Amino acid sequence: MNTKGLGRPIIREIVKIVEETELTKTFYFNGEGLFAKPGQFYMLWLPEIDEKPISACITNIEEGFIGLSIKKVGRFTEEIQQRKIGDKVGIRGPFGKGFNHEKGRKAIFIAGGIGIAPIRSIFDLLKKEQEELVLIYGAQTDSDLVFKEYFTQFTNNVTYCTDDGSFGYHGFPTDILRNFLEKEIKKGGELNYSIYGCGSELFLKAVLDLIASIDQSLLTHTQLSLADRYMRCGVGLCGSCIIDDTGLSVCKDGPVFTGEILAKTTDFGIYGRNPDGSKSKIQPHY
Amino acid sequence: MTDLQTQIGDISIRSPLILAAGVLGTSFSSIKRVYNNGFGAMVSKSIGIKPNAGYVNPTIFLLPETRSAMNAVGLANPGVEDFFEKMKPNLEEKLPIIYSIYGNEEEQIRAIIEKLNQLNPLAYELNVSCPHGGKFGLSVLHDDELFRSLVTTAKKYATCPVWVKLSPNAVNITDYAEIAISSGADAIVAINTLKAMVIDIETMTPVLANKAGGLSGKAIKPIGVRAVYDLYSRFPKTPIIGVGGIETAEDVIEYLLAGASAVEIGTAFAYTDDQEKLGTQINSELESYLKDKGLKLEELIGKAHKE
Ligand SMILES: Cc1cc2nc3c(=O)[nH]c(=O)nc-3n(C[C@H](O)[C@H](O)[C@H](O)COP(=O)(O)O)c2cc1C
Ligand code: FES
Repeated sequence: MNTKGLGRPIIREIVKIVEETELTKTFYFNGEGLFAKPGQFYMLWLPEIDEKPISACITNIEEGFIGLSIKKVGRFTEEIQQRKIGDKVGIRGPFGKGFNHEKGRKAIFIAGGIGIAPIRSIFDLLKKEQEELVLIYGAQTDSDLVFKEYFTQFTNNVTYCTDDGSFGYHGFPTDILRNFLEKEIKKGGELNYSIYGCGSELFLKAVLDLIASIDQSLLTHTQLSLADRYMRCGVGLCGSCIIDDTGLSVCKDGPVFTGEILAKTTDFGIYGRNPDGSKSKIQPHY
Repeated sequence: MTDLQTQIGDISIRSPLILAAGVLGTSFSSIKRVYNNGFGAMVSKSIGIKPNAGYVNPTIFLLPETRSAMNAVGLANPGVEDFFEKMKPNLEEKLPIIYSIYGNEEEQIRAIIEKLNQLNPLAYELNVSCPHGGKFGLSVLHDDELFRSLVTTAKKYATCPVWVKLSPNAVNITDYAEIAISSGADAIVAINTLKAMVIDIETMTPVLANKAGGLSGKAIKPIGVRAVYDLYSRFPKTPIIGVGGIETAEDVIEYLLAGASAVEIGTAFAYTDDQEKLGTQINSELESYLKDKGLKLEELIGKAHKE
């Protein structure tokens, strides 16, 4: 197997920082040796602080850089947000199996909160190859929505949703997805869609349950990224990220799984794993 | 039963391949997945009396240039109570599971074993050799008195064989084996990871949060093979389970020739694209080797030792 990128952290300077919103910044690095496929992730190391999984977001091979969009949600992300241009971080990866681009099917992207980061990576690939792109993107409030102007350049089929109604549709992305699919069904014919999703696991569970209730056959064409889980090795060794009952690792077998596989797990959307390997109920957050 | 069946004392397993401790061994579902890919048995993550979150990350990374890995997880585990609950499905499924356990007091070992006995283990593997386990790690091995008492206690309460896992961080590994065997150990497992460090030259910092950790994978294979060879020379009657750097059938055969009755495999799981096939692939290569040579698996064990 190709072991490129599987090794120790590569140290890179932050070359650019874009403040997307109050809570989210995108950090840019020289991408040499680090280019990811959409849906893969990195382990980001802040020496003497911690190392955490971060989804690949912006991959620009032509211009040679990568960008990682990070929202302040805890100690680690707060720490990175204090870093400045020229500061060094370590990056391992990219790891895992990313999204599988299903050619010949129309694309629906559905994202909750900072789950938009990996969705942008698959959106960027498909925008070069496909006409019809549907994006449904929700967050708690307007100021949590990132890349708004960006997406609007490439598709006019974007629906923004906020829990508090401060921007776009007042309600959940799943409402929009339901309406969209039901309308398509009324038009008749097969639902020739691939659905790509990322967000908190409770959100993804709601997405999956909705799709299952509308059309079971869409489950194999639904791909959800679970990059939000606790990880250590990133390479399928330690077992920190196993999802029961499948025995699959999120880092190596995922982080993207089809709805068909997720529907068979007993953990998805219910239990997460702690650093000691025990499991706890997943708490709601965006 | 296949041609690959092997005997470790009173235990018989369908293939000499065993999942090494600490790799994919914290949940029943991943252990089962490894069994379904042709392994003869699986060792669980090392379990202690209390939950232990281990060290902060980085705790593990690979060194692809030598097909190896560095880790300082620090014996992270959910503790025996939680783990017992999670492994209960095995009362039904009856997979051959060896429970790796650790502790630094007789009382802990007694309590862990009394709990896990209810799961009908295939064996226990007493881990006294973790190079980053602090007071639960190598320091146990280096205290002869304590080491002896833990093995004796494990033997006293266990309802199955007790294996003892040793470290290559020793002047002479066979001296530790002598203590284990004279205290009742049924088999010796060698080797655990080798104490090591990697420093990042840009940030001038050791990469592992714990600074030092354990080296595993291909880089330590010759060290493991020699440890097994020496153990077999001195204790030809005690079964030995060889561990360290095994990825292919050739590696397994080398360990068998050195004197191992079975082997454990860990780091190789990170270096295969298809984890589901690792076991079946090695098994079939082992079968063809045996067929070519016209030998039975047990005839390979210790065959590198010439009179
Ligand atoms: C991530 C990781 C975690 C490990 N955890 C344990 C453990 O909990 N208990 C133990 O006895 N050995 C542990 N080991 C050591 C392995 O069981 C094995 O002895 C060592 O890795 C050498 O085998 P390998 O080269 O096939 O990996 C661990 C190894 C790795 C790589
Ligand atoms: S993080 Fe180690 S197996 Fe996934």
